[in-house]
Amino acid sequence: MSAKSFKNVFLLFAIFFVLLGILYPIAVTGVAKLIFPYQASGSLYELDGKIVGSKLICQPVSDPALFWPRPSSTASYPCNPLSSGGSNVGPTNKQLVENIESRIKILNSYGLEAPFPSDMVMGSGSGLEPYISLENAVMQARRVSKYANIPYEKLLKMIYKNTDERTFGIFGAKRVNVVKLNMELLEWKKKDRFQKVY
Amino acid sequence: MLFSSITTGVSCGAVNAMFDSFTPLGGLIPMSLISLGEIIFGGVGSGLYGMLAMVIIAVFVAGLMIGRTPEYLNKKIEAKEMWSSVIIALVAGVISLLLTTLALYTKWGLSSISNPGPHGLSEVLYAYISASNNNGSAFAGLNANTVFYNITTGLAMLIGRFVPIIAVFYMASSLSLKKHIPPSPGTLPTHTLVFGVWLIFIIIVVGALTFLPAFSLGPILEHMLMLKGVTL
Repeated sequence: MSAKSFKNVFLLFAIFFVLLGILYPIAVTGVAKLIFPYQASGSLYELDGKIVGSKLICQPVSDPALFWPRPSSTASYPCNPLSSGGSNVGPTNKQLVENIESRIKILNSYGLEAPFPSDMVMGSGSGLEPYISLENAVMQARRVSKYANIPYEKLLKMIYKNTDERTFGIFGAKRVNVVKLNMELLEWKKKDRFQKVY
Repeated sequence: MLFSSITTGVSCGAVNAMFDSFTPLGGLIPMSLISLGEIIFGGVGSGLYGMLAMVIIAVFVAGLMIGRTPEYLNKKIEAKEMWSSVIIALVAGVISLLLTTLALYTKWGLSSISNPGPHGLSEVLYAYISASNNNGSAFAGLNANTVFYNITTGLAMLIGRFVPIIAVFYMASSLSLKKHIPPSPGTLPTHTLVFGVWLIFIIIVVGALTFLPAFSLGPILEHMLMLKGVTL
């Protein structure tokens, strides 16, 4: 290879390095921050001035007074955003049956009886799923209403308000964002207490 | 399921569900789409050549059966083209099956498997099929981040990707040097529906002959176990 073509190759490399490695990411980040500031910074939720969660990532809620997300098998702890992944347990693996039975036992201990919607006992592929099915949310509403001391009808209204329709009307099922629903529940409880005191 | 089929029909590899948790036949679909060589839409960066190799094999086999001269796009198909198209069609399959066998014979290969029974074989097989065909999706229960799997899947990538590319270049140079011959009554027309069906048939036969034994010990066996309600 001649010295000249070496020079050309190096120049091309340098140009594309600056263009695609530096300028392009900066431009895209800048445009995203300008046009979609909320989404670009992670769709975060605040409570009492503190950032408490993201609309896109579930949280390991075990408090019976809140809605629970789908089961999650991420490493270290459920809904660990640093290690997204499913259980990878195959359908003929004994582990799968055991996992589901133990989840059903927990649900039973809170007075919920089968049949359960599948997303109540089966984890998601990413382990970070923030959505649950509408049936799941409605089923949990009884438990939440008992432990959080909120009227059942009020919870149902909250659920239906937060229900997202099928994508393009055909894909998936009606679903509820658990993080958003829990945020609303907490906000409402705060306001409610406020009203009771004064 | 739709996304899984598309992502493995091209060499994409992004997933929106964990293939390892699929039912056996559900996992077989992505596995077989990759193992046919991701020829439905063509692979990223490699495009049409996987399908063109199949077309040339189909032209040749049809020519042998009905006694026409094998021609494609007004170029004669001869020994060099056949050699390279067979290499393109077979290399990735052969290397992934060989390495799967190696993995099943060594304890380094077996210790990474997370699911018992035939599903474990599917995990190993999928790892090599995916690596050698440039896909990147996985039966993620397999712990592939070990020295053994890093080296062998790397080997599968090198051989499964570069050998067919070299064969394609070889075939291209050979075809470009050939004279353009006008179609004669002896030419097999390749733009008809009949040829399309024939091509699909050839693809399935080549894919099935390469992988059916392995698939029948993996996903197909697991499917039968699942239908009988067996858990391992």
